Amino acid sequence: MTLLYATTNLINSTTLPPDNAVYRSSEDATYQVENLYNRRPSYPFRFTAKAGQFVKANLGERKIVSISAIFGHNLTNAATVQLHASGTNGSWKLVANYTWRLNDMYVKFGINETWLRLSVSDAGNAVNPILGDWFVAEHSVFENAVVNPGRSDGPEYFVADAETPYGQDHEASYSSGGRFSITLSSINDPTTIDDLETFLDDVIMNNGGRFVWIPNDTQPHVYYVKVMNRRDFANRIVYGDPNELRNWRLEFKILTRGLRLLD
Amino acid sequence: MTVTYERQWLDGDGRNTWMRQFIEFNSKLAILDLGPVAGKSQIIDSPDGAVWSNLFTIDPAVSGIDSQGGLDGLGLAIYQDSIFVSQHIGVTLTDARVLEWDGSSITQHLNSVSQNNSLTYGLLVWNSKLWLISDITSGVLNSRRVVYYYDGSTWTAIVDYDGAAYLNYGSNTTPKNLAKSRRSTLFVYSSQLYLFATRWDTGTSKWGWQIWRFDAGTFDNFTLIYEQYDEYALSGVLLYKGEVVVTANKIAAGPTPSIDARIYSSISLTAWNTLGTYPTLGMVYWAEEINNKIYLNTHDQSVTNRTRVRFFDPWVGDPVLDGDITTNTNAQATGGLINWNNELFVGKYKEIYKRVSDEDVIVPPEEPPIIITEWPFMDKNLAPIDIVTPLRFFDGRILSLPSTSRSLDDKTGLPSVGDLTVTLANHDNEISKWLHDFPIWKGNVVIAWIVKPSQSLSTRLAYFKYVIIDHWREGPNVIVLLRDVLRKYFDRSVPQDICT
Repeated sequence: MTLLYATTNLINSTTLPPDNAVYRSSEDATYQVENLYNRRPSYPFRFTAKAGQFVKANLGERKIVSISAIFGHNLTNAATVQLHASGTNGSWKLVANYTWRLNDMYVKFGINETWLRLSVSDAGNAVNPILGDWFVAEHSVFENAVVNPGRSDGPEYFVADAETPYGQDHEASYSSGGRFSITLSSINDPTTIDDLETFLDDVIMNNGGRFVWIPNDTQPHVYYVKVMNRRDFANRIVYGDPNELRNWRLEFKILTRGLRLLD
Repeated sequence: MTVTYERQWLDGDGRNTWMRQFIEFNSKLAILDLGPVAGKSQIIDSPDGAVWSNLFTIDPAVSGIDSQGGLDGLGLAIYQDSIFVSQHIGVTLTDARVLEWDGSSITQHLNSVSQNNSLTYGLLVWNSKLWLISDITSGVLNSRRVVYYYDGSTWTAIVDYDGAAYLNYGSNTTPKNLAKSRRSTLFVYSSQLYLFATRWDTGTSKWGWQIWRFDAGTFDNFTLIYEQYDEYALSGVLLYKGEVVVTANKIAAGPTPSIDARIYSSISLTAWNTLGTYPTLGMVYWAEEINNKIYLNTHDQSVTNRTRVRFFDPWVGDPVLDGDITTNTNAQATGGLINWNNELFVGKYKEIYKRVSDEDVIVPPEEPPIIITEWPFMDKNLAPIDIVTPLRFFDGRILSLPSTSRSLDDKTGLPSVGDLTVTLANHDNEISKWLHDFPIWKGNVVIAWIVKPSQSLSTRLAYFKYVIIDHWREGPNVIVLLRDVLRKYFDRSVPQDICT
């Protein structure tokens, strides 16, 4: 049971260029393929047909990839979603089949390939399939940090309550997400930069605070989260040479999937 | 929910008919019935849609008008308490006429001003005049298209189309085939008159369509505002939820349209969204907005000749089959659709059908709406949260929107709303980019709608139209001050006292 994370999405404008029909089977005029890596699951990509659809990515050279996640989708649980890989744009080898989960789903594997293809077939969907974000990366673990037991972990709802002076009570539910708060203890050599600090530098300065978090790799939960705190991350508990103990506190929230009006 | 289509009127009494176009006349449902007996047409009407009787017959032998026949009298309108019907004259479609029935006698129009070999259609009443389109279909003046209007005494032709004396629709194909796609249509949108015209472009050798806007100021010319040649010819134009929706069928080689249909929409008329391409939908013969959906009457030849009624909400998905009215004879194209007395009637070859269903009216639960905004001058849509709809995306950049309410001024009766200060997120400089691309915001219109989060976008209601008065930056945000657009035009003090 390990906490996995991934910060940098290998799907970007270089590996999945916009306006190139090689890289996708169809593309809606409003919801285009670059929305798959805009870090907004609420601003999605949409196919214009239901069956036999795909998006492809060319990583440029053989790269080790271990996670492929989809954040925000409208697929039915009868949809077939698969990941294929290849050295060229052809002769695809099946890497993994996604198991349907509401909103977010991922597969974990290990390949070293150049081309990837995400195949979607959802003929039973009333409308064309929508994908929020497609995240592909090699996952990482914290080498020197241990997650302390117990964490704050629960859903968050954004609801407007409108109670009139006459006592009539309406509400509108706009979106749901989640909040987590985890603490980690890390032992590191004080002459180097703590790998948690390196992780935060990458996430906050290079990726808008967003990263993919898999709390437990034996379970199917995956989250596209944003780090909420900006300071007061850590306390040094034990000073020493050659190691120190630091306690870290990280707070995340799940990125909202936005509001769909009868999509 | 069970939907059936019940046959209302049979051809048992020997009529050879084609139920083309419905209209309401004197509180009854009426339809143009082409060719009940060779050489004649009639208007039949019914008080309830079930029992039909003859209103008047167009019989050359009796009424002394020119003999008539042929197909596709695609024009029916009520003007100054008379029914006007456009007709072809002659089996070979040589002349066109417009017939007026005032309740007792038939008058023939345009026989002195029409050119030989022309087809009139597209009758429409606008600006207190009766308008029609006239296409010349053979002879030396072939391919010319002219719009006429009638003010009750005189017919006037519009002879200025961006300087040209007539439109050239670009093909000498016989009208019989193209009439199925309704060649062109006059349409009123935002109180302006437009001509939507199918055209063959000789340069690209493709079919397509154009939109011409009539100048209501000089009242004598049309200007081209849009054209596209993607091999689809018009079959219908309608207004749906404030947008103009066009149905079209493919004519790849011509002249006969195919069952490959396409549906477009636009607000501006100069930029069009393709709502969908439907290669097997059928010839879209008629489209009407009924009960918040677009109903399409199609002639589907993909299996056997069938009339199929589909309903279509562009903001939901593809057209859904509602009724399959199979013909078992050599079917001609299907006919009209109308929502009359809250019932849907469908016309086809020889028959009229009424839609019968047991659907309940569902009352949606009360929930407070959210305000969403359209900024048409930049073609952007903004809302307090990212909103995904099938055709447009509402960017969730509105950080704050104060509460607002509308009121009516009791002196003028004009609606008014207070100023609205909207805070937009500019942390990523996206608004700055918009300010660069569209440097002038002040004076432009922003439209606010309200919509309930659980409902379709097509249920949105117009809240108010604002004009941008000012905008400025505060840190990572851009603040925009919106004001009631009516105050731009009517911002003057109203006398509070009446002089006696």
